[in-house]
Amino acid sequence: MLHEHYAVVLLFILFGIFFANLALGAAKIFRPRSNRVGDKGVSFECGELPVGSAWVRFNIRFYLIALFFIIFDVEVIFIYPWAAVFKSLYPALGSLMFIEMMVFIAILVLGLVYIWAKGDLDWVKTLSKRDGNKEVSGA
Amino acid sequence: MEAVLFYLFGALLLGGAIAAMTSRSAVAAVVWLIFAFVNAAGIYALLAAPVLAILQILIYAGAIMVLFLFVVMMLQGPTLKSELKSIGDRKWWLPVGAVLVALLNWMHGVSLEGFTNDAPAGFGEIKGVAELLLNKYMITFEMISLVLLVAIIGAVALASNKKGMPW
Amino acid sequence: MEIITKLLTETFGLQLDNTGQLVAGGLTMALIMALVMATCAIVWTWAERKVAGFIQSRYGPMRVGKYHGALQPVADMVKILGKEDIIPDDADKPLFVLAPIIIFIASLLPWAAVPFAPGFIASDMDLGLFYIFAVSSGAIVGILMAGWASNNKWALYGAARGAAQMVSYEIPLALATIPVVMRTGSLNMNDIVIGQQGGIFHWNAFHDPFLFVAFMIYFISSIAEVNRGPFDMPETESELVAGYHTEYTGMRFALFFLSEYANLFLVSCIATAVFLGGWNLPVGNAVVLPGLVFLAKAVLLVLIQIWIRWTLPRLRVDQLMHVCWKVLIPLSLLCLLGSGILLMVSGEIAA
Repeated sequence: MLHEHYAVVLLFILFGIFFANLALGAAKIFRPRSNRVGDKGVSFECGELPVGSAWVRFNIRFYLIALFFIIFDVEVIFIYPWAAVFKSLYPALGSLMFIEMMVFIAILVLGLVYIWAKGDLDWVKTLSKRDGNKEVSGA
Repeated sequence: MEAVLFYLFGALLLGGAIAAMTSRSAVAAVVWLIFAFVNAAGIYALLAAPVLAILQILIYAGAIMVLFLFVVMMLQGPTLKSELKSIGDRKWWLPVGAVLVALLNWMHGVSLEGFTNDAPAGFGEIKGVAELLLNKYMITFEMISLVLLVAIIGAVALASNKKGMPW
Repeated sequence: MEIITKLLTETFGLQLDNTGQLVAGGLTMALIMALVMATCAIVWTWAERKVAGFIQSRYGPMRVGKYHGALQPVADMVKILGKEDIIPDDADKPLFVLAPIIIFIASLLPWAAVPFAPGFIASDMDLGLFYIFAVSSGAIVGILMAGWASNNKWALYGAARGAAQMVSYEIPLALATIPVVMRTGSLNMNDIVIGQQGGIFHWNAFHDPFLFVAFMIYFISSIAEVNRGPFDMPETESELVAGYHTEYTGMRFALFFLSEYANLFLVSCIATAVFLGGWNLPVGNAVVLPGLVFLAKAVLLVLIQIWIRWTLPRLRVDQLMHVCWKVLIPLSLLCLLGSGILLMVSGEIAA
């Protein structure tokens, strides 16, 4: 069954939707009606008309950061249960428990060292091997 | 009350999933998918598995969908509607879906040993999960970290610079 | 929550069954937390401008309200209410409208597990800390949606930067709290606060050197997580205009702003509960005015964050990523190792 603590979360979500819409609704009463004359609907680009599409090719670095994030996030969610029972299970399991987690983390640190050595943690990656010292920067 | 919430979450989950499939804009599809995942988390919370519910939010709705959004944002600008046909225009998924529904219906009838018993006390709580992970499934637990290591290497390989791309 | 249900049933004499009590208590707590968020926006916008003024040898707002422009935020609020609502022609309308609401909900939800005082927590769940990290990650989705739906170059760049920064700093943020969870043996926010009873050296931040470093890591990452200076890359006004909310006007913009200042206070509250002893006093075991003690600590942390914002120059993107992945994450893993060994050696947990 739904525990009362999580039922409160559901109530918070419902209230959040209600409150946000209440604020937007209140603003609707007070604000002037939008007259969409001239260039009012044009995207803002420092006063000029927008040049080209807003859509750009993103640097692959953003994609890589998101991938690394997922991997380390999964690592963190496995450490949390371990940390929560560290105190209560330690008498039974002894230092085996600690070693278990250290092996787990060590394997992932190996991954961190790998991406570090490969230079994938540098936002501005120097392509010194291929193009001399030309730097290619992120978006 | 519980049944009402279950059917509510179930209906919203299905609705979100269908909207994700039929949506023509890829970003809208991802947003619908997040909506579906949040409702799945609601069902987990109903099943007295709060750890699973929070993992669902943290990993699927939070982390993996952020990656999806990045990818989709790279592929599609806001004014560009996808050229691809939406799945709603295709008819092949109807028989596939029918087979899946029949399979689920059949599984519903089969009583599976161990699945129909009551869960032991504290099963879905964090203590229960951690005790299982650290005792019974210790080797599996260490394997997870190896899988994650492979994933890191895979990610780096995907973004590797073999073709002389400017990144 | 207990305090509120007691107040509703006994003082106001409401006759409610269990479900009714739960719904009434939960909604009242949600209302209180939403008002806390609104108060944050009002108080912190004023405090931010005043502190910034003093740091830069000027007065800040002086005219609205009698005392030092105290009514300035109210005037701002009235102005925002009267602002025209503009949705750009090129925007993806449904997502554009949805994004501020998602960000607002994502910053309201974590408040459910903040222990202000004994018995004054909306949801005293066993997974409190875990829950806070899970629901606050929803803001990243909101930011990406806002940036993408605006169909504006600045908004899109700001959103991509903001999301990359927030996901990166979420990892040291979560890792830094793990030594605390190990020491307390629970993820429940109330248990974490109660475990720090007995004076300042029992507070997690000052308990041992590893936990102190963990506290520093948490504090630095939390500033980055709420996108404030010196980590305000997503909304660098000199290059990206306003970042992901460039195209938003009126109340929709206000929701972004509200969430931003509420998050500033939220991370301070979490730091107070997890590292600075919550409602416990620096000396002794007595619980005196728990809510005020808690708020005093959180307010102090917010003032430090404002001070940092107006003192340090903004970091570059590459420096930002360097600090996160090459300094904070290895350091927090070392903290984890160190405090684990310390726990085993010091005999704080029986072998």
